[in-house]
Amino acid sequence: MSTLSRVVDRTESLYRELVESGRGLICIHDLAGVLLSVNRAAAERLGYVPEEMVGKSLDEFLAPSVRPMFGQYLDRIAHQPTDEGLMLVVTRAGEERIWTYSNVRTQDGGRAYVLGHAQDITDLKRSDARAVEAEALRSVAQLSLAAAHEINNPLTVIIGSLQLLLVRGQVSEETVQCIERVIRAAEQIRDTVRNMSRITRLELSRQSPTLPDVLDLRKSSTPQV
Amino acid sequence: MSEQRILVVEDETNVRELEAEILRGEWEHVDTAVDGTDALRLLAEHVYAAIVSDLAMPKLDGRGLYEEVERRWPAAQGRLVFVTGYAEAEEYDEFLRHSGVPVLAKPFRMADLLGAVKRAFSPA
Repeated sequence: MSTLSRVVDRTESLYRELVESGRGLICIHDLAGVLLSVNRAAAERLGYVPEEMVGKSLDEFLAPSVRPMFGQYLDRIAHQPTDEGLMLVVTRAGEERIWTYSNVRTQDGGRAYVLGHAQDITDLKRSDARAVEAEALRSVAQLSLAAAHEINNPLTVIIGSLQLLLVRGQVSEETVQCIERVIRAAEQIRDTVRNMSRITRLELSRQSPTLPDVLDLRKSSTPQV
Repeated sequence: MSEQRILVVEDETNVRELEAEILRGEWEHVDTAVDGTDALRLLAEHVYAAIVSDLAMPKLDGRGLYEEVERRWPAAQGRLVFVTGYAEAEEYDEFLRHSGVPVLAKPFRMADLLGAVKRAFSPA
């Protein structure tokens, strides 16, 4: 073997190693979306070995909700040199994962194919979602606290003044019943306001088919001790 | 009717008047202050058997009042009762735990206010 040939072989072997053993998620598919090659990292991430995936269409590994968009992707990559975006894949165990991809159309001996490179960003996306929810929770808690203060003062006056009326007497039995009913209703408002101040998570529920989901105060607040 | 003197500290006029009216049913001398600073002025003039104070107030709040009372009239510290609509506020959590001052959450029932004031009593 000539020196040149040995250098070429060595370089090829290094490239093969880079693709097959690297942690990046790499595949090659044809313009119909059939997988021609998948590296170990990509296959393992989906719960397969590369040999199980080769020969199958890439869309078999997409989440059912995004499969209808696969044709549009193939159309884009057939007419432009690159395409990038997000894809929702599904593992053998049925778990959906979010991958960001950056694919390049290339040519080899007159045959066009696509070199795909992806990264799994599921955990990052989930932690972003958690941060957004935490921020929303902070805003709701601040609003609830302000509302609690504003509502509790007039409620104090309503309940206290009605009780003064009862204590001082000189009201008919009918009026007493009416006053007690108002006090009970005011105390219901007090309990609602207390729940608002104890919101520790955001749980929504549907109160009516025609209304959007609303915050469920009982489910969202820490139980009263 | 008891001779002991009670101080009500509350910035919300309606609440202040209500608390004073409830307490006047049992005590003849009930003074009112609109915030902590106003309360300090009255505390310099009279000895109070109980001090019923809001927590969140402009100028000097309940915490500031507690600290001033601790510094100037330490014997009166045990006669404080806080009444607050902010019972759930984290901002006051540590202070309330540390100070040990009894807290009555708004809205309260008359009996709760009277009971809290009676428990705060110490020889004036």
